[in-house]
Amino acid sequence: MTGPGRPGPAVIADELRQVLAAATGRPELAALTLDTPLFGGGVGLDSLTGTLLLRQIRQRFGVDVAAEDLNLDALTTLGTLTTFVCDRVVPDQVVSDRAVYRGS
Amino acid sequence: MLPVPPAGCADVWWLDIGTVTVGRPELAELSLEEHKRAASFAFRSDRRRYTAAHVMLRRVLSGYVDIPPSSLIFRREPCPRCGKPNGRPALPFGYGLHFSLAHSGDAVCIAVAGQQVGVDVEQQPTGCVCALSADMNAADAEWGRPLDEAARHDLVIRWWVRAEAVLKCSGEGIGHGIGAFPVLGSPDGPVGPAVPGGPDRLVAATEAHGCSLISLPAPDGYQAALALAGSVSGVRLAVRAPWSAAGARRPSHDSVR
Repeated sequence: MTGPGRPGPAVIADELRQVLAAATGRPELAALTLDTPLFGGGVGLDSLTGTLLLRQIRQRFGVDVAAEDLNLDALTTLGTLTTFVCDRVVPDQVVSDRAVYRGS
Repeated sequence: MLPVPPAGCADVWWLDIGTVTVGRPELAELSLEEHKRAASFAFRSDRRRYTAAHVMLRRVLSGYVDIPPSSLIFRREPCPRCGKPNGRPALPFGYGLHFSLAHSGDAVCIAVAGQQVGVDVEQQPTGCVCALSADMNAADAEWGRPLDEAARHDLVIRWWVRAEAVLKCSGEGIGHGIGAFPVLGSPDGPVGPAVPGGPDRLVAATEAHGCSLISLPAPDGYQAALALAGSVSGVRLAVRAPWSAAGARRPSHDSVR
């Protein structure tokens, strides 16, 4: 669901791709499709990059995935993660400075 | 056949997957489940790392139990915290052999011991990892406060590999809390000379969460740690395949090609 000032799914997905590429140091993830699994195959995220991804999502969008989704089902694919973040993101908490997760 | 390391000892095998290719003979050693897992990776580099690591694991363990690599059967122990079947991977009961596998970037590290063992290796990320400070044990996080950013990044990854090695040794998933116990603080390192014909050296260990923990010498750009179950003042460490020669050394079999 989108609303005034609330970023839509396409924007969130693109932001998540950038977060993934930065967290893993793998620029190819900036072109990841929505149906690609993130763990257990697919992108092959490990525990370090997975944890870093969760922390940076919290910094960037103010969404604590681990606290709200104990089974981490939201991390199944980029698409499920996008939906999860999109439904919970608070516009005022979106960090506009991408340097937060670009590490620069 | 290689002897199972005695109590307080661990064998470590390194493999640089940048030096090897995996062909049909090697792929034939993997199980159906491993083939399915390999096929599920979206990127060739991940598939290659996974297959090389698991061929190497089978070949290393084969040298200790005298069973062909393709005939080894793995099981999964229950998590000691929640009982779910996602604990440590293990061989069937009766071998008295424990192992741990870690891979990151081009590095594969396999630890073998006669007691529960955990190993982790991580390639130093290119981006900022300061966000992980929030997951650190409070005592460990304090060590990073006076450091500049580059040194803090090194410390965060050093913390991570040490904490994950402990959790892989105990069999607990990181979902139960990777920052629940401190793993930094007490410096550990070599405290004795190499033992001729035996383990390379005695490394002073730090006690952490019921384990004896050491940082492993790792390739440039990587950090690694090893944990043995129980409390010992030092871990006798034998590097059976060093990084520089790992692509060409294996027990009793041809190198991974």
